[in-house]
Amino acid sequence: MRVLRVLAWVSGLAGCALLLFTGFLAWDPVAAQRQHALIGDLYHQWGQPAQVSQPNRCSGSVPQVRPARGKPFALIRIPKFGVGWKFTIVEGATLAQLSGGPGHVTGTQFPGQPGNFAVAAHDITAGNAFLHLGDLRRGDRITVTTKCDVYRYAVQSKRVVWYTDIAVLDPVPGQPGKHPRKQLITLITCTPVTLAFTPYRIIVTGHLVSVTQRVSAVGGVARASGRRPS
Amino acid sequence: MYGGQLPTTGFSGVIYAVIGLCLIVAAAVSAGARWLLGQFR
Repeated sequence: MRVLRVLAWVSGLAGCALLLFTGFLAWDPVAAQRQHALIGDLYHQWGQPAQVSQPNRCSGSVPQVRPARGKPFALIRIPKFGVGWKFTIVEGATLAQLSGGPGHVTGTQFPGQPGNFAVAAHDITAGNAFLHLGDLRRGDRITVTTKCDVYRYAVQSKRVVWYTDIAVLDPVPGQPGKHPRKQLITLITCTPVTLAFTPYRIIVTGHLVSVTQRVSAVGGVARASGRRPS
Repeated sequence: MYGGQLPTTGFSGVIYAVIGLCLIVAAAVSAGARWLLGQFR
């Protein structure tokens, strides 16, 4: 009887502790620090000369980005979410890679390449990057900044799909095998916002509106000339 | 690509909440059972 009483207390306390731990994970108080570190890493990379495996991307017409898994390579801004809303985009979209913020879905295109640049992020945790993704409307702007360029996209559609509907990742979404002519961006997160598993994903697709050269923090121009999307 | 699925972007910590709730329910059931046993003594 005494053993049962102790076991009941222990399981009750452990249960409360786990609930508190869940709250801590959902709150994610260190997300801002992780994001700050990623931004620092990104600006450090941008300040470095090109690597041997990364030819001088700012001298060609299309960036040849080959970022390492989990490494940041771009910044995403969505003005509708606030002036200060800014996240790095890391390479890869596994749970580990999304723990720091948005991630590029490996296998989809990069900014500057014809096709579909897909970015996924959590709705809650990891800075709640895409918590309000569903609020985006047609025409809202999405800006992606890489080492050389600033890509401005305009939202053109929004829909909810089943989590196995990977056709949204095709270079021409929903049309596998079709040769892409446009440069698109696809943003992905779970919906509805819930602490439980949800099989639904909200998909926001935008098309490229303009590309301009990135002006570096020291006032220099990272790219020799701006250009319109092809 | 990701096992034929779109990336998992939901909250992955929900498993801890489920286990926690189970433990609390187990503790409550245990306490209730002990109380009932005490009533019949």
